[in-house]
Amino acid sequence: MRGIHLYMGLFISPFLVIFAVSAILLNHGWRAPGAASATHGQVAISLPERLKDIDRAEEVLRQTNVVGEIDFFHDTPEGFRILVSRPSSKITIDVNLAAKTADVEDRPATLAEGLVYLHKYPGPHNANLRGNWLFTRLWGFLADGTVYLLLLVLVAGLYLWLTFTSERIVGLVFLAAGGLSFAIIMVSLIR
Amino acid sequence: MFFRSLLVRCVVWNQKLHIYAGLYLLVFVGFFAFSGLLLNHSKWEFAQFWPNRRESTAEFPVKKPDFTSDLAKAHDLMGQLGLSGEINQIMAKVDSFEIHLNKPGEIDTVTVNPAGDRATVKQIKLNVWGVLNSLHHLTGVEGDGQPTHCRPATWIWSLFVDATSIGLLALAFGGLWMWYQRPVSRILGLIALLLGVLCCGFFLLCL
Repeated sequence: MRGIHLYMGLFISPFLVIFAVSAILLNHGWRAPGAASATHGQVAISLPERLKDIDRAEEVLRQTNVVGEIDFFHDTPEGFRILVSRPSSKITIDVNLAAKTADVEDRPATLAEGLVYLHKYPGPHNANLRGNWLFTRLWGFLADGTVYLLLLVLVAGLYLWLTFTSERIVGLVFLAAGGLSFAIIMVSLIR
Repeated sequence: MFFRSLLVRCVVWNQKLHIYAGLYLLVFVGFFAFSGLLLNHSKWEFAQFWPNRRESTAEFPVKKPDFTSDLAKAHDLMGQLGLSGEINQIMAKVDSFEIHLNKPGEIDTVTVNPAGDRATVKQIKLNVWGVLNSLHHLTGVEGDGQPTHCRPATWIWSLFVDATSIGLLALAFGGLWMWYQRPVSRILGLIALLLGVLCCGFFLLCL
């Protein structure tokens, strides 16, 4: 049990730091700064007629050498727009079907934006689209793993505390206080 | 000698802090971990909440609020109708006065007629999975970073979100220090820690 708590705890501690710091940012309505230093480029593209929706968007990414998670795409008067993101940047691709060009705007993200990105992704939004990038799926797998390991670490920690006879009474007070705090806030929020 | 005894006391108190903070925050950490897992798996059948929502619309007589500010009018109407929650939006139009409010598990829209004597309440109630979903997101600030007109309970919840996050950081770093005090577990522990750091570092800095 000590081994589980120690080694699993050490492995997930960097993940917990990411989730904890980003949670504080999100809890205080932190907003990403404006597009200060975006790079722009234009690429000639050629899209087969048969491609639609996500397949078409992925082909555009392939031809423009853009890598990342396709967040969303929608039609525009000239063609369509694709929003792509990854921890280090936010990319907007405007496709002009008549001119057969793709305007790519790449805005670098700050470290704080990267932390918030990792907290939120994969996430519940656009569930049918989410995970179209390999690394989003991998991060989702790691985020799940962090949860499962964290729950295991919590259970192991509880067991370790119970074996610590000198801390049982005080520990029980803290445990009960935490549970009671949670219950009271829940009732106040839901009522 | 003084510094040695101070170090020993710090080691002891770090261990106590790790135990007490871990026990106090156990339920909060478990809650956020589990609700976060659900958010990452919105297609899980058992945790569906939006398709299982219960919608209802009803009309009630109300007394026209005698206040100048829209917020005061909204609070008065909520009191008359027995509603509670965060006020997300107040729309004072020519032909109606509309209040959008929500709380974990419930979304209400109140529309008052121009005469101010009848209110239509459209209510959407979510199941326990919807409550969990709402609670994980609840911060008391809007998407644009502006504070909502939040209830004291929401403000306290927001404090506990901060406390849980800071507590997790204290647990992580305190735990690191405790591990370092145990030479027998340093090698394996370093491997476990480096694996975690490399994974996180790759996603945060290399992608």
